Amino acid sequence: MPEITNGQGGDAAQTGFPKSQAGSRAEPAAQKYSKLNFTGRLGPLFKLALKNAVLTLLTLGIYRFWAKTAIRRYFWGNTVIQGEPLEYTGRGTELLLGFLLVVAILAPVSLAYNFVVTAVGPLTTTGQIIQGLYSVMILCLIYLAMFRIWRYRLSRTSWRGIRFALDGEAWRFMLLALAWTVLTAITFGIAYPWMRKALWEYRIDRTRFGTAKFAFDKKTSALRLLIPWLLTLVFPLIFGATLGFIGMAPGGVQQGLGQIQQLFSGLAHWLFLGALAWIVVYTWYRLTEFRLVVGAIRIDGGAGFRSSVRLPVVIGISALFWGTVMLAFSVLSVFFISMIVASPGAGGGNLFMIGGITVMIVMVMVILPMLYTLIMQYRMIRHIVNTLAVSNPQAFAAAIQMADTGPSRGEGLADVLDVGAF
Amino acid sequence: MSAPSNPPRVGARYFDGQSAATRQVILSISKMELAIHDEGGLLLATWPCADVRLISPPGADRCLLGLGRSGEARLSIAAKNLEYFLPHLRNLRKPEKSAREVLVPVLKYGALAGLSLWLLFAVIIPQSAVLIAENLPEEYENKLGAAARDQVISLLILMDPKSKKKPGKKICLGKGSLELDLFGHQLKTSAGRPDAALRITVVDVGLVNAFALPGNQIIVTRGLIDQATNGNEVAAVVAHEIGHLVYKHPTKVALQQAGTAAIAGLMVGDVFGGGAIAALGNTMLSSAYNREAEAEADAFAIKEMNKAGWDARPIAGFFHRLADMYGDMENRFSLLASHPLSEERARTFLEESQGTGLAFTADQWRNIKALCRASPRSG
Repeated sequence: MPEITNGQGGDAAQTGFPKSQAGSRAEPAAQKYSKLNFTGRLGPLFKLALKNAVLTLLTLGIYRFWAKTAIRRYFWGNTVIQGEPLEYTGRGTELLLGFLLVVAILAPVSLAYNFVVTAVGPLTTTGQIIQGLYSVMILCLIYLAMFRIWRYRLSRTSWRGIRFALDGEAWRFMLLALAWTVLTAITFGIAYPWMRKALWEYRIDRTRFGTAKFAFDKKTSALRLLIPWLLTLVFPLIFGATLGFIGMAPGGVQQGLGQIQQLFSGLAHWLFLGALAWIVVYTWYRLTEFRLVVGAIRIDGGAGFRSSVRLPVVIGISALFWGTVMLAFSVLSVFFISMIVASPGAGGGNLFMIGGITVMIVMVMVILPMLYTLIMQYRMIRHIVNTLAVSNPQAFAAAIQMADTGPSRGEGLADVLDVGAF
Repeated sequence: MSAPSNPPRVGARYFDGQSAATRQVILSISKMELAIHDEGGLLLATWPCADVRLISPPGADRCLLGLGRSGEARLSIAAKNLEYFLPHLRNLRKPEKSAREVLVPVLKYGALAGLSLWLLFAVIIPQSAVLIAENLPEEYENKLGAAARDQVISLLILMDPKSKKKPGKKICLGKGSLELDLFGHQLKTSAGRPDAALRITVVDVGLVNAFALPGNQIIVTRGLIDQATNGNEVAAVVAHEIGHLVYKHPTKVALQQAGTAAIAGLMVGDVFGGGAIAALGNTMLSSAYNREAEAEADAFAIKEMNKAGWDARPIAGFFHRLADMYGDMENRFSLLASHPLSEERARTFLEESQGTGLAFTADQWRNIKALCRASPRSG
C-alpha cells in the first residue's frame, strides 16, 4: 500500500516554528510579508446562496440568521493564512436569540416613544425634544452595536484551533464614539478620519488571538486620510451651496424652486456623473482608511498586516454588481411583459398587478441577495483577502488558548439597527 | 513506538486546541479509530471515527476536522487526502445537534415571540391607546388635531386632480361655515359636552367625505355638501362625526396606529417607527373605524338628532344614492369606503330616528350650499 504524506506539498513546510523567532517584538516593515490566500469557488457558494434565498423567502425572513451563518462559514473557511483556513464557529440560533432579546427590550421603549410623540405632537417643542433624545439614544445603541458585533464575530472566529476575542467594555467605546461625534460635528465633519482611527484603535488594542494581544501602532497618523476625506466632503458642499444660492435668488422660494427644477432637468446628466464621481472619491477614502487601519495592526511577537487593496478593482466589482442587477431586472420585466402580451384574453389589471408583485418579490427576495453574495461579497472578499499579507507569522505560534468563550448570543442590536455589512 | 501499520497513512497538521503551534502528523485509520502520530511516531491522540466531524464549508480545499462540535483540537488536511478516510468517517457531515434539538428551542422562542406579538397588537396597544386617549390633556389633543388637519387637507387637495386653486384658497370660509359651527355647537351642548371648541372645516374638493380628527376637528368636503339634496343629510353626517369625537375615536386610532408602527418598524429595522407619525394624515383619511366605533357614533347621532327633533333618516337615502352613483368607480378615500353603510346601519337609522324637523332653515341651508362659491377670505 502506498504511504501518502505531504499530499499538497505544503504540509511538511509548515511544521514546528522555532521558538526563538517568536520572542522579540520586531518591526513588521523589516520583515518579509507572506500573502493570504482566498480558496473559495463559485460553485459551492451558488448552492449556498440559492438555498439561503429560497429558505429565507419561505420562512418570511426568519432563516436569515442561519443564512448569514452559512455564508460566514464559507468565507471564513476559504480565507487561508499560512496554509491554514479560518474557522467560523457561530450558530444561527445565537443570532436569533440575540435578535429576539433586543426586540423584547426595545419594543416597550419604541412603543412608549411612538405613543408619547403622537400624543404630544411631533412638531411641538416637547415633541421635538423627545425626538432629539430618542435619536441620541438610538445613536448610543448603534455605537454599542458596533462594538458588540466586533466582539461576537471575533469570539466565533478561530485559527489553528485558537479563538480570537475582544476585551474592553462596550459602554466605554460608546462614550468615546459620542465624544468623537460631537467633535466631528463641531469641525463640520473634518475630524471624521480621526474619529474612525480612534474607534478602530480602541477595538484593535483590545483584540486578542488566544493570549497574543493585538495593538494599534501608535505612530499611525490619520493625516494621510485628510485629502481623500476633504474631497469626499467637498462634493456635497458644492452641490448644497449651488442649491442654496439658487434657493435664495430674488423672487423667493417659489421662483427658486422653479429654477431648481430647470437646473435639474438641464443638468441631470451632470448630476448623475457628479454622483458617480462622488462614489469613486468616497470609495477611495474608505480604501485608504482600510489600508491605514490594517497596516497599523501589530501582534505580540512582531507580526503585522498589510493591505494593497486596489481602487479600480473595487469600483469594477461594484459596477459589475449594479450592472448585473439592472440587467436581471430588465430581463425579468421583458419576460413578464411578453407573458402578459402572449396570454390569450389577458389585459386584466389584476393579472398585471399580481404578476408585477410576483416579479418584485422574486427579484428582491431571491435574485438580489444571490447576486449580492455571488458578485459583490464573493469578489470583494476574494480581492481583499488576496491583497492582504502578514509579516512575521511565526509569532502566532506562541499564542495559547484562553478560557473565555465570548458572549452566548450575538448581534441582536446590530440586526435591529441594521449595523454591519454581512 | 513504531508507526502504525494500518494503511493508508496520510500527512496532516494537528492543532491541540491549547496552543497555536502547528504539529506535522501522520494519520492512520482503523475501523473504530483515527490515530494521530507525530513524525517521530509518538501517538498524540486517537479520535473515535464516529465522532469526527468536518468543520470546513463545502468545497474548501483545506479541510478542518474536529472531535465533535465542542472539541477544540483540529486536524487540517488537504481535501483530496481526506478522501482516503471517507469510507471510515461516516459521520463527517452529521450535525452535532439533531434537527429536533435545533428546532425545539427555535419553535419554543418563536411561539413565545408570536404570543408576545399577539398580546401587543390585540391587547396592549389598543388598550393603552384607549387609556392614553382618555387621559390626554386637551391642549395636547388639540395640537395633534391641528397637525392631522393640515396633513389631511393637503392630502385631500393632492387627490383632487380637477382643482387648480392654490392650496391656501382651498378652505371655504363663506357665511355657511358659521351655520355649521352653530349646528355642531348646539349638538355638543345638548349632548352635555359644551366645553370643547369644535371646529368644522369645509375643504373645496370634489371628493365626497367627512372626517373626525383628534382635538375636536371635523373636516367636510365640498363634494359632500354638493351631493346632499337635503340639509339633514349633511346634519346627520356631521352629527355622526361629532359622535366619533365624543368617544375620542380619532385620538384612539392615531395612537393605536403609532403603537402598531413602532412594533412593526422594530421588526424591519426602522427603530424610529417614524412612518406612523409622518403618515398621520393618511391614517385618518383611509382607515375605517371598527364596527363598534361606527355603531357608537351612529347611536350618538340618532340620539342627539332625536333630542333636537331633527330627522336623521335622510342619511340612509344619501348613502344609497352615493352607492348608485359611484358604485363601480369606488374610491378608497370616499365616504363609502371609510364609513361602509351596511343594511344593518341603514335600518337602525330608519327605525330609530324619531325627529321630523329640519336641522337648517332654508336660508341656512342655502348659505351652506354656497359655502365654497362665495369668494373665500384670503388667509
